[in-house]
Amino acid sequence: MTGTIPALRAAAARYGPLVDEPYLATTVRGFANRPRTLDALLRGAAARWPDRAAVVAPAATLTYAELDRAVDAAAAGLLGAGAAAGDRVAVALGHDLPLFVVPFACSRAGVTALLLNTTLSPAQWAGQLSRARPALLVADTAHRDRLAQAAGDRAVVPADAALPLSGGDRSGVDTGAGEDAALALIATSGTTGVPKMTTVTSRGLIHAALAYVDLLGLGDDERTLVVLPLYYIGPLSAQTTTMPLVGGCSIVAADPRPVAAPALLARHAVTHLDAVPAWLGLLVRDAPAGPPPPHWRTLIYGGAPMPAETAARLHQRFPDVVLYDVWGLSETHGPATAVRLTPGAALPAGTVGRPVAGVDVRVLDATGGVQPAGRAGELQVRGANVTPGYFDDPALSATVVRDGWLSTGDIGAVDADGSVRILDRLKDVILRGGTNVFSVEVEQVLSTAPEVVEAAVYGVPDGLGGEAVAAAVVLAPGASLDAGELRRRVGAAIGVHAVPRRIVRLDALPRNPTGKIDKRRLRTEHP
Amino acid sequence: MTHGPGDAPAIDPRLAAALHDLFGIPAADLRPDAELERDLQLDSLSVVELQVALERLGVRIEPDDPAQVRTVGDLQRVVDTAIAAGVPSLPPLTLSDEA
Repeated sequence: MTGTIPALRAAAARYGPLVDEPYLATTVRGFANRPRTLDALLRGAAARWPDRAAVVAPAATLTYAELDRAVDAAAAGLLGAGAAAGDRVAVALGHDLPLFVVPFACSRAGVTALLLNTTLSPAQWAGQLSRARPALLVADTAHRDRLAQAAGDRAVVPADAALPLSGGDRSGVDTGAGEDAALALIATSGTTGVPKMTTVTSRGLIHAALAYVDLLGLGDDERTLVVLPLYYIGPLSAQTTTMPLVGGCSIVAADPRPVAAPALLARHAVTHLDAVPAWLGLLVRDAPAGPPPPHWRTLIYGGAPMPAETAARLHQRFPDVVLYDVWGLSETHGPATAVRLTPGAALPAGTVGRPVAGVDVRVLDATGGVQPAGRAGELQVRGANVTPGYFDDPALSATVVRDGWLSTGDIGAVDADGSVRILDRLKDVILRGGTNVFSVEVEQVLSTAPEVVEAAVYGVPDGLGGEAVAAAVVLAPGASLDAGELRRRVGAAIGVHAVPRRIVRLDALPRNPTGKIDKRRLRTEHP
Repeated sequence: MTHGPGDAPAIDPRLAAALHDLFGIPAADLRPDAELERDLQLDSLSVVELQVALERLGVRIEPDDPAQVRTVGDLQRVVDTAIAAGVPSLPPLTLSDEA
């Protein structure tokens, strides 16, 4: 769906123009004058703006020159603690400076971080560790015991030893990693119960971030508040990577809860925020009344549809903030499409806007034919922001990314004006806050209970405009339902976000004519 | 708001009904010291949903200190305080016949 390519906005023009380049067996449009790696990006920022604030975090505030030196120390620390270039390093870290530094340090040291989601259970971590086979395990004090539990008898290195933020030097640090080297792995649950791990690269992050710089017209006075976990792809591209491109500053929130946000937005003169609808719903509900933060200009959100009421209340409460709805996946390093919301003007249902700079979107029918404008099918994305694949899973990678086109698992249509609408999800996934819950994974856990013969897990509306997890189970003859035990089982195996709120017992699961479980009917009959 | 084992409040049947209605939690699991997250497996969004449901009954939980309401007993105290402060007694909630 290419057309006339509009001129790049603001600082993005400095890294342009967009030029054709080969990538993933296809041709994509890349920013011609981009830094090639996160390492090069940070060096450039440190040379250009040495004394500007780069990051404000609970642990410390650093200028770009100081951040550059901290990354030297951290890269040397990782290599000194037992990782070698090309190795994976598992990190279980809270919302603070060490986790912020990790992607830069990995680029500089040539290692790959397995970014562990701290809301997941140790059992989930164990599955990811056995797949990623990290050479080094790093945790802060708060996560050390849980990582040790997940890692069996392996040693966990404290974060202050493996990621020192001062005292290192650049000698001996390998900076030879190229732009397609794996900087990080982000795990998502798969339909087989085996975690799949999306490869995050410098090429992907920098293109995703430059698309944001262009979309939002980011300038050199940007200050972004990071409230989403730094192991999500969203903040990694929209915040951690955009700021050194423009000379702006990331504020890693000491308290990432919505109720604390207005004070932080005002105190740190924040201009830009990345969030998810569930968080924003709580912001308009719980945040103390007061004048809107004076510098706040842009808000991007994604991950789930925004309830209309939340959007209206956001506009009421923060009238000067421009909202952008972004559709993207970990596999696109963040944004694929975006749309600017106009207050009071409702968009057609499911509209997620046009592709961002350098990205193409198309629709395939069930036989793999490209659909004309307006016709529905599976949405595919192509661009320099697409992941090269999943770690250690060439078969899955080859299925999901073919000739440079990423199959998204979302059903939608591209209209004649290039606008993308999401109509349904091919993947059986429940959008719970900022986290995806894979139905199949919860079903598998429920089925491990001896009394459960069959289980179906589906999304139902929660009371906050989002989705909650519900389950229907068929029990063995004579067995009785112990919902508490089943809930605990899911919490221990996956995490509390995946625990079904309602577990109904049925004599049989409803099925459609082809024998598939009819989750639409479960949703209607057992909400 | 912590408490010792000696002054554990009784669980209001209407609070129990709300927890059952929203999350299918059986009344038998509602010991005063049961932690909402660890023992009842409620995630943070579920806790907010519970707050919203209680607000409809006139019981307000201040959001600025989540540590204040960590257990079922803490919840019961908030309900007791609200009733003592003149909130009309809680209307009964319909118990779900499922689960």
